[in-house]
Amino acid sequence: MRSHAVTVALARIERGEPGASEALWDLVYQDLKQLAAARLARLGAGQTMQATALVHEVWMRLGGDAPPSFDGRAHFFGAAANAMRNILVDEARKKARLRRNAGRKPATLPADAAIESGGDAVDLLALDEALTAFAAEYERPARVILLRYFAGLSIPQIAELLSVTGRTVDREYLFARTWLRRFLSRD
Amino acid sequence: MLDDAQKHRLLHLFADGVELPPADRAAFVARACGDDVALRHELGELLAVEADALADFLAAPAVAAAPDTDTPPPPVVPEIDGYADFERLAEGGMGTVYKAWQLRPVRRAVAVKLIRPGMDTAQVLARFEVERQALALMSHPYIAAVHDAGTDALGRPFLCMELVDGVPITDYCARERLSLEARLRLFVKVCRAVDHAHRRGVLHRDLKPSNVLVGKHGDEAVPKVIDFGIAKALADPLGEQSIHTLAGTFLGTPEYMAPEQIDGGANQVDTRSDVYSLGVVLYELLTSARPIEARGQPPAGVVQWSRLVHETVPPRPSTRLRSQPTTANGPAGGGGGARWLRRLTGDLDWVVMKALAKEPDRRYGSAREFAEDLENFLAHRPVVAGPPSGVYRLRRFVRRYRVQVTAALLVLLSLVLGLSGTLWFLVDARANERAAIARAREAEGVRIAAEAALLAKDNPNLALLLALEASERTDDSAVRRTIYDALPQHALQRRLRGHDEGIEQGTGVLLQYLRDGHLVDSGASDAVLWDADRGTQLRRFAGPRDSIDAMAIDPDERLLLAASRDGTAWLWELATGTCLRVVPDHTAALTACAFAADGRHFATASLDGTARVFATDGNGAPLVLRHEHPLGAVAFDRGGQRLATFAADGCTRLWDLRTGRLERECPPAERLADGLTDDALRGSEVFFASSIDRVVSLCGSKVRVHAGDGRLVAELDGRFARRFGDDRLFVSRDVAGTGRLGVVDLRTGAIEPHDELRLWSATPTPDGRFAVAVDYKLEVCLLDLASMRIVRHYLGPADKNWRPHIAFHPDGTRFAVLGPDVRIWTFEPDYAPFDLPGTAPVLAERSNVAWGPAPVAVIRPDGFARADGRWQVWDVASRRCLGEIRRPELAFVAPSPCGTRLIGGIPEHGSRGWTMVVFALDGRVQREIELPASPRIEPAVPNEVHWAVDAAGRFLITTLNPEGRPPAPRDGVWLQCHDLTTGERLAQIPHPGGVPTWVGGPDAASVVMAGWHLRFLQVVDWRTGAVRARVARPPDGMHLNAALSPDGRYLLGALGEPLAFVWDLERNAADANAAPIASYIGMTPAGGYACGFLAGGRLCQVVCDDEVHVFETATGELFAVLRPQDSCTGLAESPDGSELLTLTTAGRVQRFPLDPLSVAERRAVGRLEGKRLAQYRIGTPEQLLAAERAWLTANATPGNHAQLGRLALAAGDLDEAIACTQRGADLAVLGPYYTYLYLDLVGLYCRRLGDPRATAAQRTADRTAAIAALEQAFACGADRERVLAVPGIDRLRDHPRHAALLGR
Repeated sequence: MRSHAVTVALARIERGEPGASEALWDLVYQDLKQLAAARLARLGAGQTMQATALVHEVWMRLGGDAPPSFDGRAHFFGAAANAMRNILVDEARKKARLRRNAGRKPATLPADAAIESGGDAVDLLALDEALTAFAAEYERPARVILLRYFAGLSIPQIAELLSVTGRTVDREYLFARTWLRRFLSRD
Repeated sequence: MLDDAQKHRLLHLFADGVELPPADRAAFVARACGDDVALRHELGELLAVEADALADFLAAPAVAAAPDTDTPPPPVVPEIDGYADFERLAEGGMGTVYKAWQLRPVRRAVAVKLIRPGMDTAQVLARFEVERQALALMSHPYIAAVHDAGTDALGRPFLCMELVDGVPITDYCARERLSLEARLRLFVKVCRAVDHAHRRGVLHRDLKPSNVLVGKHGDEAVPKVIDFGIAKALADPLGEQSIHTLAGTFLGTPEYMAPEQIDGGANQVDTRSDVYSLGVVLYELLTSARPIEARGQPPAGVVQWSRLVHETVPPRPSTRLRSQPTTANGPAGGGGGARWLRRLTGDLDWVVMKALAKEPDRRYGSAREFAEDLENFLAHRPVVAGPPSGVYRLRRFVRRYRVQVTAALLVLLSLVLGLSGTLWFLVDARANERAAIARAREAEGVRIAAEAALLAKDNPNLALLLALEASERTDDSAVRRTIYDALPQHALQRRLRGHDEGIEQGTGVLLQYLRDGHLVDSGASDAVLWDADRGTQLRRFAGPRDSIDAMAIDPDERLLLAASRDGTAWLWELATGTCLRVVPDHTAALTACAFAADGRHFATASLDGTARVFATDGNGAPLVLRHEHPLGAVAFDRGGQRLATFAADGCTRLWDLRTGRLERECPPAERLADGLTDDALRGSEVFFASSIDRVVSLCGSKVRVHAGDGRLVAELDGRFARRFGDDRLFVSRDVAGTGRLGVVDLRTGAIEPHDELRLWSATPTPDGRFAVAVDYKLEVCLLDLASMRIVRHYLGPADKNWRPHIAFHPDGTRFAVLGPDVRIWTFEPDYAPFDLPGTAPVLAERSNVAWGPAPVAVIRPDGFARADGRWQVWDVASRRCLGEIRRPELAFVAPSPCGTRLIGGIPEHGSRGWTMVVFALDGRVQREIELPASPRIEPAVPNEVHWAVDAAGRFLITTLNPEGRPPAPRDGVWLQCHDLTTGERLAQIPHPGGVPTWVGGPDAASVVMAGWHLRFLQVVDWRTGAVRARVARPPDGMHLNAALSPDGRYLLGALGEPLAFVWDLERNAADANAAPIASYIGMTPAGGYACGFLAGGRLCQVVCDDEVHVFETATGELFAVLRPQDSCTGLAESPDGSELLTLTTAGRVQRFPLDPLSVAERRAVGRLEGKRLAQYRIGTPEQLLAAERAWLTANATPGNHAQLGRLALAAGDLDEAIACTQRGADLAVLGPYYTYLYLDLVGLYCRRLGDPRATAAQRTADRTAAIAALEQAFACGADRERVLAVPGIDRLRDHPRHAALLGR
């Protein structure tokens, strides 16, 4: 139901109807907020960035009120996932920079920028690089992993968004994970 | 590298391969890939990785999974903690209603309304929390109480209400076959209940028969109005989304909704909307029909309903009855047909129709008036309502058929004029009605204001919007001020709204203050000239058939120029609004326009690839300048001899206007092959640097700086560029979706990045000290250009416009920001807080402020972390560091009270003496004075060094016993006074006891001795040691601080408890026990640690932790409250007494104008603070408490019980406080109040735990009691954060329950 409403809202934005972006905002706010809250929960207490600020940041990364020709929910979540990736990587970068300039400013991130993933810590900066390389070669699998890993969508949801079967998503997800694992273990 | 076909195969083969056990994979790879070596290698490697190293790498998302929005519907029976035995009663638009048993605080049957999923839970709950505060104020036998709200196990919001045993009022009347009179009497009761709520500022918003349940108690029919305020709680908090549009469908029942409620949403709704709904209910009671009923399929959409409601004039009740053969004998169950009809016809018709008027102004102003008119009818008195006047019907007719009527306008006009006598009469007659309406609106405004004040801390943005909403409903500026005071920072003066199509999505292109202070702003296709100070529109400029993409005002402020997308340029006269010219020359949409500096020419640019230069007076042929690409921007240079044009290929061209020839081509680093889109072009800008030979263009995400000879000086990423001085440029680069500020040197093109400033734009202020900027959250803020730091935020989002228009008033006192509306902010940089550099909070320790010729702050920027003895002196006005002192041996440095020099102290360890050093403000040493050793004073840091300046301008210094241990008045302990100019010791007297807290008085010869152990405060003459005055300590007080008025007559004592007293020493001369003449009670978490006289003794100030309370010396009446937002460690008064300067422990200095609060505000401080109850009246504390208690007891509502508890607590009577919390109050309803109460209790116990004098047994008891109170606080809904803020909560850490309650 909501996916339909998002599509309608996006269409309204493209037609330039007044208030359309607010309507979309209302619709996706909850989802984005969950994304943000989940991220914040992982990063632990004492976080400098507020959930709302983060959501606003997501929204702005999506283009504020002028989203580049979105194509329904699929497009939207792709963009949201990308925004999440940007945020996480940004924070990781900031963290790295803070470490380099230790003493200049009080560190703002208590938790390490690396994210726990099944017991292994993933270096976000490296993952970002790997993802960029992967996306250049395998477009759809890259979208799958983006939606799964950064937007937290379920396999059936991704399948619906990309208009493919769940089995395809499963397959490409596994492929993407393997590929990225190999890329990261090469160094 | 694989090609696409190989990649495709790889994906498939990989999928097949992972199905196989690892041992079989090598063979599979060899078989499947054949002789494709690259593919074989890739597949083999990936399969190996999958088998060996993958584990669950990236298997779980970095963020928790998004919820599946298409989850199956939740189970039927809700699960809510504390409730049991759910039994479904009804299904409604908002959700399902259950009968249930509430188990706590008392076991009782209640109605639980589970809100339909799909609404924003958090918002509904937050909203309801606010609403509940208002609902708690209502206590009426005919209004069902709301007990509780929360979320069920599935996270759905629910409301718990009084269970009402009754049926909808319509059903009841039919079942009981009530007569017309009985129905009216029952209905009057409903009106009275609704009026009760209205007078407490609560609207129902969804009145209908099913929300008015009637039960029978004995012989009496008792109505209960249910769901009060719930519609509001479910609606969007900003009121921008009306209730019916939530989830795209009506939440309420449109038949009962007032027209303005259907149209305008929450903003338009007031008490008269409820009157309309009541009118519909009455109509139905009298006729069994609704005034407006859809024929056939009821319209689903809001628009259709709106039309139906506006276009249908309902028949009078009597007419409706006659026309319905089935009910011609009276409505269902009514009986007595003919009589019923006769009774209905006439007056009652008019009463009902008055309530149902389309225009709120024509309805009854309140439910009470409605009820009174019905009582008039019942008592056979004349009713207020009457048939609509001819004028009214005429107006309605004109309104409905505006277009058709235009032709006959003259006729109608004359008719109206002919009737104007009647009209005047009507105006007079309706004056009372209007006053009533105004009162109702006022009440609503006050209520919104209260909401806003409650929200102020958690959500300042929302609070600000609510404050605006409130101020639009009430003219009482005090209401607005109250909220603003509760807000951390505020400066919003006014909001202007009123364009035809709004200014959404950053479509505004012009915002400019004229020299006369009027403001011009642009909407999508019009512009408005405002009297911005009054908020009134003076003139509107409209005409273009399509959007206006650029506007300009000529230097003489005579003309307004607009460039429209319809291909025309328009020229209006600002003074008259007359359109002087429409320029149709261009063949495509215009994108830009500009006036030359002398105003004699203007230029336009268009997508048709030309720029045209016109003479303003219309003479001569226009000059046409051509590009090969569409144009986006145009600008004149200062001399008016050159024109710059910017085109879609990224090229800027410079034209010589004298010859009309192309002078220079300024190409970008790389020509744009595809060209820029039209939209990007519309946003492009080009301008000349003001004094050096540079031209700047901005388009898309590139800023280019060209020299006048066409050379490209710099090409930078940037979405915003604004001149900053003569030779610099602010740019905002888009880095990872947020703006990062950079400053570009226009001469060299070098950029100085300020990546820490995440700003989308920055516009320098006229004084050049600041820039008004928009940060990455799109909030307006103020950037201090000296320190390149954000010094304040203005509340409220700017807009989703990354290049906002900002205009300064000619007098520099305010500025406007064009967003979705125009917001005008006070520009008061002097009052902007200023964070001193350093390591907060340590820097503020022993830091202080003083205000002599200039306000200065003395701080220790390194705190105590590094003992390098660095001290800094800051001029607060100019925000400059005046000087620095580096003397590690200095134990303290403090400013003199008059702010002209500093004094430092160096302990001489060997000799037990001190060296005092006098510094100039720039840090130079002026004098060093050795103080001889005092035999019994130990060599340590003197915590107190006190100053005074006498009539001859000599400095006097008083040192005292170190470490705050008050010496006893015995031989060998001395109080010393020195002249710091000469170094001469002026006096040495036996120590009178206590701590000298203040030195001064009429001849600078008095010292006030205070101390928590003393029974008396003493004023001593330091020259002779003679005691000038003594006052007895009040029973609860600890004399922590005191001061003497400049004339020596009044003594101010501030106590550790939040109390301050003023004694008139003339009265105390005879009797040391004479009572203080005034007392001030400000219940703040901590208070009284610093105090002093202001305004020559007329006012007193007490520092209460993060607030400074100023009260009148003679009366103890609150005068002003300053909120430096953090613990205040220093305070100074400006020489003219008009301003105060504060320094907080976080190192923030701020100037405050010493503006008195209005009477309403003083009241509001107490009322609206919620958490804090500030009382201020003349009298002793005992008298005050007694008076307050008496009043609260006399007005015993549940809320007042809670307040009684708080007072008992303030008096230290814990048992009484706890008793009050349990007396006659409903814990669930009063949750928030009790939260504070219990938290106060916790704080009190914790404070006692810190008392070294307490016995072990007392500590154990206090700790147990504190934990119990803490549990209660949590049970009432206290959140962890608030609990952690309780002072001294750490003292409970070792209690076994602590971990369970607070974690860790």
